[in-house]
Amino acid sequence: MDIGALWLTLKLATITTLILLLIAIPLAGWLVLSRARWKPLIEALAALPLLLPPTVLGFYLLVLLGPRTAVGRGYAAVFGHPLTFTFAGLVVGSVIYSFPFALQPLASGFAAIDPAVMDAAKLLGANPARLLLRILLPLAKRSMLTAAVLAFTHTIGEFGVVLMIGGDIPGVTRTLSISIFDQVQDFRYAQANHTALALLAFSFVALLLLYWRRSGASNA
Amino acid sequence: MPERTQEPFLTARLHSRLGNFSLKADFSLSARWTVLFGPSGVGKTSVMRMLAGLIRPDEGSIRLNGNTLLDTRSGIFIAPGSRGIGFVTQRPALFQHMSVADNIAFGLHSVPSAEQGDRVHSILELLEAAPLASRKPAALSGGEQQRIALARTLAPEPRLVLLDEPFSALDASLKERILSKLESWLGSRGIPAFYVSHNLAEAYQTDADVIVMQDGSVAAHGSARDVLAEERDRLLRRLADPD
Repeated sequence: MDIGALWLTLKLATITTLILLLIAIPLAGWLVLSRARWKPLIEALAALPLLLPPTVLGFYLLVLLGPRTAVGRGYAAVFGHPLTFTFAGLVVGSVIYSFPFALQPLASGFAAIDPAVMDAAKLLGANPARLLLRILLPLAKRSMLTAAVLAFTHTIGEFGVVLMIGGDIPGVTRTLSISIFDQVQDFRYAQANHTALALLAFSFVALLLLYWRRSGASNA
Repeated sequence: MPERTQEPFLTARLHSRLGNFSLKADFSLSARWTVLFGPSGVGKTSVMRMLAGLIRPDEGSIRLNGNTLLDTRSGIFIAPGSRGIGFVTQRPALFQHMSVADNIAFGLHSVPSAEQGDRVHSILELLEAAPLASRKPAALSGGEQQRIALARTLAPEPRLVLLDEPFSALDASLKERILSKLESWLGSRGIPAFYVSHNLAEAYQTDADVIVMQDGSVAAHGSARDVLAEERDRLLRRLADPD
């Protein structure tokens, strides 16, 4: 197995998951608490990566982050290099691509909390931040775990977006899924099989533990 | 006679369409203890929820102690937590992940932390629930949960307490004891209560003011004795002349 690619993949998945939780937790809280008319627009935008082919998302991100747009030029002017074909670019792509996998479980978990409990907290003067930190998050711990596991495993298995934005640079943007692609291209099927099996086993064990925990909790 | 303030401390005009039901409740409160009475489905809980700020009427206004909490014409809406109104419902809705003491301390964020413990302890003592302080809500009976929900609402000492059948799970003797303690605790702090009940005799016992609701509007308002006498006369008239 390509150890460099393994390390890079784990680093990418860890950073992506942490960023996703930081963004998705307050957004999920807002989705549950807000009565804004344009809420469905945010929900649809956040869920878009679920339906969009990864290559479409990757293509637009490549264009957006490239030197032809103000965003791309601005980043290059500040950091001295473009965001595309860098590890930071991969993180941006992964965060967008895995966003619904973090947001949906959190939003569902928050929405399942008894509205009377939320009303009680509001009547006792809880502002949205206190409501989120003291009531929603502790009562939806399981949803947070689900969100973290799904975001992490989804990022581990990502291919299309990573290839479009990052290409295939060893030690910089070559993740495990791209490593498998390279191995198959080079007819190194045994190596590809080892890497693919490892990814398969990892994803299966992660989901198994998640469902096990959920089933244990519902039987308790 | 119930203790009354010179001027009404609360005036409310609440007009709203709720599904097939039309609510038109205009009233003011000046007694320290007012019972909102009426059969199920006449809009009592909606009135309470509107006063608390949990739902907005289509049209109306609420003024409490001279402060406007709601005025749909000028777009004023004060959020539930900033109204200084405590609201206890039939469902305790305790925070299951917190101990009883933490549940009660939740609303004390503006009270200095050194005082919070004493405040929690004294309110638990009042409601005969001191031994429950360290327990989690799941380990409490229905009646205990209702008393803790009441303690949680009273602890911040709100300007008005709304009680929507909060003692339904209490046995009769405990309910009577808690009601009497609650009345004197509120009285000593000058906190008025607005209490939903199906039992008009209860209102008569407490000598409260009574608001009778029928079909989404206020049908009668006055002292318990006057309202009871009116009800009795109305029944007698109906018996004498069924047509």
